[in-house]
Amino acid sequence: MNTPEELQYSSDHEWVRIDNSLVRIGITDFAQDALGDVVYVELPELGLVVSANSAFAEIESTKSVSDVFAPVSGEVVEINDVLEDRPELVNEDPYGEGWVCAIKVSEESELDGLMDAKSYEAFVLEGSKED
Amino acid sequence: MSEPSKSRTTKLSPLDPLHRERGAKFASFAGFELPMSFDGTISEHLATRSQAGLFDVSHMGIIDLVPKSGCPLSTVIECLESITPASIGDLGAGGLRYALLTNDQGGIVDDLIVSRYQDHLRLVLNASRVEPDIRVLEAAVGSHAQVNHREDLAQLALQGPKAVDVLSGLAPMVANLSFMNFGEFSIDGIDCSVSRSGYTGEDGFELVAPSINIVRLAEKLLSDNTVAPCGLGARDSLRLEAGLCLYGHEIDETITPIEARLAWTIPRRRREHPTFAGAELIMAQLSNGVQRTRVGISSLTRRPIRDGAILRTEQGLEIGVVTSGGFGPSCDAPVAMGYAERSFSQPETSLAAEVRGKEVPCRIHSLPFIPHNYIRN
Repeated sequence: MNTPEELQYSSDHEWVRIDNSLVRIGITDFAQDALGDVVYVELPELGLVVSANSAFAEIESTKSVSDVFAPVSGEVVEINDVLEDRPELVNEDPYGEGWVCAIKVSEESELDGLMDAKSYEAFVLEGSKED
Repeated sequence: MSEPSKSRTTKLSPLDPLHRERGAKFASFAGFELPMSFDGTISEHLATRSQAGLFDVSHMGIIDLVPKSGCPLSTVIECLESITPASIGDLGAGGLRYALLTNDQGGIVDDLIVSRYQDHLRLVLNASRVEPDIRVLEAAVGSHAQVNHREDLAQLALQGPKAVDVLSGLAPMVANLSFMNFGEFSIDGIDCSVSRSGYTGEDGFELVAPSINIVRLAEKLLSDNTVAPCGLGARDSLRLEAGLCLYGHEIDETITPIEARLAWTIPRRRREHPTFAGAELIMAQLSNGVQRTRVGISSLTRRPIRDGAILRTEQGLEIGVVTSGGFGPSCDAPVAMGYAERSFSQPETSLAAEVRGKEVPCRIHSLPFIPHNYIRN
């Protein structure tokens, strides 16, 4: 499992790259592997105002549809529309070209609730033990 | 994201240790825990269309109908024909036939493959239908034949254009088999029934062998690097593109063979003397047509249309439902099957599918999506 040190993580398996008040988000390597081959991404609309933990995008694999939850509250200011034609980038490069969107954060304190790489790996490991 | 907890009654394939060794991802299907994928559903699907894929189909039920002493096989066949509109009587030894079991209302109890041996019949049927099938088989043929559930046997499917090269390297004579025929072969010293058949639309073989030998047989086939291990995900997308029905989706006890566009399984002899269960309704539908019919559906967007989506006209009138759907890797587009009212079932008819509250524009598509590549020698 690839878990870059410089990112923050949510318990819904999204990663967050913090750049001042803007955060770029995507799904983690663990999440893309669990989903299997991604065949469709329903991106949020630009300008959409989301609240933390609400479902605001969908990632559909050959076997199922999964919601993407907003890790923080804010406004969607960028979307990765390359995914409309190349949804497989979510599998191939989840932390790079497979990013989903960028949100302008409205409640910066919510960032404190995210996990660092080490905590996220422990969280995933704990989850897999329960199976 | 978490996997459902394993029920105590979950059955495992005899190939389970091999699947785990090869890093399969698992899913529950018809009471079995089976591989969903190995390298990835899309790459497995494409490998099968271009080369060869190996599928564990050991969950399928295998039932032998063995005539009781003094009873001719022809009597057993006659009894079997009372619950299927297929013709089994004209099936020669070494032949396979796709058949539907029907109920008194004309609905489909199961779809299965009948193999005609010299002295008995073998039925390969859906894992989820073993119990109801045994009930109707016992009732129809039980007084003339033993209904033996062969849990000592396991089954592999080797599918794809290179399957014949791989398998004939181990048993040269398999190359002479024609589509829907079978024979007995020794493969690496293992006695197998090998049929030229499958569920992908491609050329290929299905191999039945004793469960105790199945891991060795699978390892032998996988030692050829043109063969990709494949899971249920690829099996489903391959059969969907090939326009083949899946029990519980396109067919069930409330759907007739005519609605399912499987009238081709009812040959003339059976239509002239319709002695099978449900004949009254089925024959009336053959004459008068049906209200709803099975169709292919292609999405006009990249968004897959899945099982359960309601089909509507452009004016919003509900005219059908999707029964299977997903991404078709060889079509590089979403593909689906379902049922539509007859007047909206012509190819190119524009419709909308309701997918999680959103309208997805789609069209009726002729079946199959990908032409079949069967070899008839």
